[in-house]
Amino acid sequence: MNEKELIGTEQIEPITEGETEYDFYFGPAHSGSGNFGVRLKIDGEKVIAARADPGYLHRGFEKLMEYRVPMQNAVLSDRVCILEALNWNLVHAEAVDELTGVEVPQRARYIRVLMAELSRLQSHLIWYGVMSLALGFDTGFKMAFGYRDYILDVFELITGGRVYPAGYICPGGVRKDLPEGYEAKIRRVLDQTEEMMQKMKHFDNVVFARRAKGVGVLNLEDALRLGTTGPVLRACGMKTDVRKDDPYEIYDGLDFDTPTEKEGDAYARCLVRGKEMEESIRIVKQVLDRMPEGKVREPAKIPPPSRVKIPEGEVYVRNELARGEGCIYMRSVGGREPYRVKIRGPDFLHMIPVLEHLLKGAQIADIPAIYWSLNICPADMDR
Amino acid sequence: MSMVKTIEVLFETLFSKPMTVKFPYEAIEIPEGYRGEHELDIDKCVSCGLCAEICPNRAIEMVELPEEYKEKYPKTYPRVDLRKCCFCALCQDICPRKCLPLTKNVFLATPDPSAVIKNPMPKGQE
Amino acid sequence: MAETTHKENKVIDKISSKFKIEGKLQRERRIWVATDKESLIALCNFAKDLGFEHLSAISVTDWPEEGTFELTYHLWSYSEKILLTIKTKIDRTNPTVDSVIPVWEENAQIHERELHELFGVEFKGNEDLAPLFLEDWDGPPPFRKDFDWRESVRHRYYDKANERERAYWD
Repeated sequence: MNEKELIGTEQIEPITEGETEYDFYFGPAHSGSGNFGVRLKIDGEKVIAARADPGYLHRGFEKLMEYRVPMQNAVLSDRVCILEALNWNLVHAEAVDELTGVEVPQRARYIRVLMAELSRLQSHLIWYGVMSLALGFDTGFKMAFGYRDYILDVFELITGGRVYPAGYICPGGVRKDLPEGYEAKIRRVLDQTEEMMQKMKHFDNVVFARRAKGVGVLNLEDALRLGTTGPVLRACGMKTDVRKDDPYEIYDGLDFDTPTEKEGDAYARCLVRGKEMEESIRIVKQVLDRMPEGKVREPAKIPPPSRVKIPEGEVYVRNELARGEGCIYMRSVGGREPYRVKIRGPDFLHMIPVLEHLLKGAQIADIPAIYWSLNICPADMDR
Repeated sequence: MSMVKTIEVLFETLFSKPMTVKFPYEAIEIPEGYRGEHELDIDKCVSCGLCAEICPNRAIEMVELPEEYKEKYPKTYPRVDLRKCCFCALCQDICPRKCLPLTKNVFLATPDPSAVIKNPMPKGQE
Repeated sequence: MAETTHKENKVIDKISSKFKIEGKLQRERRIWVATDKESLIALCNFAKDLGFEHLSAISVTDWPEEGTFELTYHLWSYSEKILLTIKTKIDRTNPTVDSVIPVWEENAQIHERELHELFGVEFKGNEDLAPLFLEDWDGPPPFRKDFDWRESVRHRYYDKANERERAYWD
């Protein structure tokens, strides 16, 4: 096609003879990063300017949640970003719990942390698989998704679904109790994940070090100015973690570290995520050792929708997701449904200001390493 | 040195079992509690309509049975539209008589468009 | 209980002594402050100097009966570990407010761009308010309370004359 192609509202210019500048549309269907496009202006092999083009997955969650009672919203909340569904379930459940003022039972709190950390592990395995695929290392992709399947088998046993937990972590506790024999299965899965992490250490000298070192450097003051959070900020040298600074559930009683790196390049981000997986395994082992007995939901029966009432008030809940800081602002005026729900995903900041800043001046061959080292998920950017 | 390591890893993986499960000749067993197709026990249903109220996608509608069964089952019963259902099992959990459990049947793909709407029928007539 | 909320009370006192507004302490690490539109930028600059350098989110709540939009700015301080929320109300028929880009730079710019598209709020001083998510959208801002999205979807995408689509018009 040599003619001018219309993409959205801006035209992509064709290449004219004698010039080295051209437009390039990177997207919108990528393996492992969903639906998201970036318009690039390239001179030869170097990117001069980048503009993000979001909106392919905009479903209007904030308005959808205004028409449903909290128990139905729990089912919706795992679709905010399906790659870490249980973590988003937890954010929403905490927001409703703080508004209603209910006392969540201790056993439910431990189960919530267990599921959230397992979900973080499988999200990092997806990231590893997709990053390997992007850098050309196909074996890493297949192994990561193979080992992730063992974690999904645990989810199938506990929540009833491999990928969609259907609001397992719901307002008031969790939806059902853990089945028989869960502990042996989870410990076996942790051993298998540690096996995968041994393989990751063996792989990383060859592929990641050569393509990701020194690429996409983000220094600390740019990171703070652009609103970065999570592993991307920790790789720039800032030691911060919402689970330690603003603790929720039972995290203030658990023992874990916050790994940081100083260089701020793509390789540093990979190292931080690898170490975070080790910390997650440590947390799961502590939770399994200390699991108390008791009820799992308060109230024990699901109330009929016509008799639900959320007390008036407003809350802002912050959680540490696998990708960064995920928050919900919920406002209620005393009715059945929330009056306003604002969902703040970490990728909203990572995909638009940070990506545009990092892609400026990069070579085309470095674009995959930069793009996938940020571990972005278009679903929680668009909501 | 790395050549030795390569040969070690090669021998280890040559004789270990692959992760792949060759479906449909082998299968992973589906555990209890998996959320699959609904199965209505019409004799226990009291027509409270809570399942239709709680469904987030409005996939359940309370309908009457055809004429020949109206004498024995005069009230309205849930009809599940599997096209809209997201298999969240809220209807199973909220039912006060536990008469709409979700079974383990996951093989729901069908070329027959009338089979995706599950009308409530007495036992033996589905 | 007094020890755990000591630093939050210090922040509330600093703000109320400079601006004559009362802060509300919801629980530990959560402070809510309401102000009027004119002193918004001054309060934001003061908060940034106190250490609230991370802008977590900006949100708009629509109150159609009152005729106002309520803006909330959620700020987090890495050093004090407190979340401060600044609330302000603006008129719904002519929603303009000063942009906080001079205080928090690009972080604020993208939040304001999203709110401009979804609610129709004008941010003075923000040059890049191009559409973000929606393409070729010529209707009213979709997240307002008076926008009936079911009716709008029916009119735009379903044809009453087409017999397969007539079911959606019931």
